[in-house]
Amino acid sequence: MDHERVAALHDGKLGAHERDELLAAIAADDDESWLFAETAGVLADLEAAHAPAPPATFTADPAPSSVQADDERDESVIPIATRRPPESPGDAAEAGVAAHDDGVIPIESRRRAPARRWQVYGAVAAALVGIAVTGVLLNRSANARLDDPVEAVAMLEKGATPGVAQGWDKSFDNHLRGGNHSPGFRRTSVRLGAQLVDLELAAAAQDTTLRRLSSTVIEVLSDSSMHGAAYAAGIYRQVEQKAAAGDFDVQPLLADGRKEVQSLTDSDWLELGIWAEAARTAAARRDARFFASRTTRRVLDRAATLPDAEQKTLEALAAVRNALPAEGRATDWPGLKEKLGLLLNAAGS
Amino acid sequence: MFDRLEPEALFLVHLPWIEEVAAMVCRRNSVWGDDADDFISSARAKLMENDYAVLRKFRGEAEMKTYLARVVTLHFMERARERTGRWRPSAAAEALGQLAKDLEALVHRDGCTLAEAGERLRTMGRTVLSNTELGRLLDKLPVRHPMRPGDAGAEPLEQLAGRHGADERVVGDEEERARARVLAALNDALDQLAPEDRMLVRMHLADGRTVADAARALRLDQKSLYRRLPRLKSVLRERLERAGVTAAEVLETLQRGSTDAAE
Repeated sequence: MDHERVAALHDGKLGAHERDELLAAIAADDDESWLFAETAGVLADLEAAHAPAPPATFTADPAPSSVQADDERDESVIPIATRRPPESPGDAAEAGVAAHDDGVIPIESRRRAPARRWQVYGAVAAALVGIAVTGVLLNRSANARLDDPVEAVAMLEKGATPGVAQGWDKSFDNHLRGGNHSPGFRRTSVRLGAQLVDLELAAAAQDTTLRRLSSTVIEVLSDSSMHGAAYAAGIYRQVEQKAAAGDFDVQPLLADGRKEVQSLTDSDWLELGIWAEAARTAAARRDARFFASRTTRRVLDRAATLPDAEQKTLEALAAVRNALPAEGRATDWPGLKEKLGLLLNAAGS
Repeated sequence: MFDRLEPEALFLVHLPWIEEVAAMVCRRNSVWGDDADDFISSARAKLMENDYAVLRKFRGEAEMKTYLARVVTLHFMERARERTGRWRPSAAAEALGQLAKDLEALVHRDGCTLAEAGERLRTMGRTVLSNTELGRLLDKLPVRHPMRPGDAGAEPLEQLAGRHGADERVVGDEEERARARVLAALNDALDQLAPEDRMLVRMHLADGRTVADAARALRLDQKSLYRRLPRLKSVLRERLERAGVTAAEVLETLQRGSTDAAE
């Protein structure tokens, strides 16, 4: 086989007829098929590894860590979801995604997404390839929220790579379920915030707990009285099905689910849930930079001023503040992790 | 005609890329440590061979980086075959992701126990899963036997006793005819597909590549593939049934084929 012709096929430089001829020859040969697919995979992984980080329009944090792509399966092509319920459960199950409007979206146009979309999805891409973006923040005003779990995950050292504390999912379970399924809007928002972070971590790490986490989210949504929760639950049902089949290619579904949950919940409490769960992971990893970030300070400051915060929540917040890493003293990381769990328990139950 | 110096200059300019490609191919195919370092050196040497013959052949019809990526990946494929036999990740592992591929390689290719594989993967930072959880993942993968070239021994073949008796040979012939019929029907059904569809079936349904991988490789819109692939499966199913072959027969034939090959 002419290697340069096949390279031109990879580059999209062949005419339709020549492309078809070459694909037919490749498909007919085991070695050529493998070589074609593997070369494409290598090129895609290297492209993702070289993808630029989001622009740092302001920084107040320590220098970012070195950027190193992980070998997680990457989705450098980021689908753009539209809101439409599945055409039928069968369709959705077969497709593995909500059956969105599939107007042809050329890959090239998605790769050249406009700057503002890149600002939103930059953290998604960073989290998916495990790039540490601590210290490299999106352009946000002082009042901006940490309402995207992917941003929270991206704040972690090494982002979404494996390294979450053992048993993080069980701790979450104990703290936030404990038999109490009260649909209180505030509490549900906190729980969902925390669960969204866990889902991102599990999916990126291809952790088999993804299935159980999806089930938990479905249960929380189903138990709630939030208008539109059923549609959101449907999305996570698809994640659950894929996870049950060992398919971790769920990023588009998680993106859809995030948008839905963000639209359903109280943004203050959702933010607290997102931050607190990411912080628990950071504490498990002894990631001091997470806690030194402006985002952390902003979230804690805002949480302390919430008018409907109960006393137990305010006390738990104060305990977390007192346990944060500080110059001149050693950090009690297990203690901090425990206090963050207590905060989640206080705010989410 | 290239200036004698130009290929060498091209090589040096693209050397970082060549090494990156070589490292990435290793990572994707569960080759680590010294073996990966060896391969990277070998890739460099390959491209320098015969006065940079590979670079001299380049005509400028494709991107140089893409061309080099293909050449390095080909070198990996050929070298791996010499050393470890015709090892490829199973379709199941391919579909389950890199961790499954790594685990499969360690256990079924390299002969590690589950505990050894788990220890190695955790030490390399490639997972935090426990051995129990890795065991559950391993259960989803087919049992594999490495197809390694081996020494068949000096004894002339005609002196070796046949494996099967006469009755078994008759049954074996019938099974072989049935298998040939099924495979012929499958090949016909595939041949009737457009080349791009054939590649999609190959990559996603046969080799277990994700929809995203197939979309990227073929430069297609990923979301539209979620509708196209189920339609392709229906079409194949219909064509096979018209040829008197059920999907179950195809599956059984293919599974039996992989078992036989492993013996």
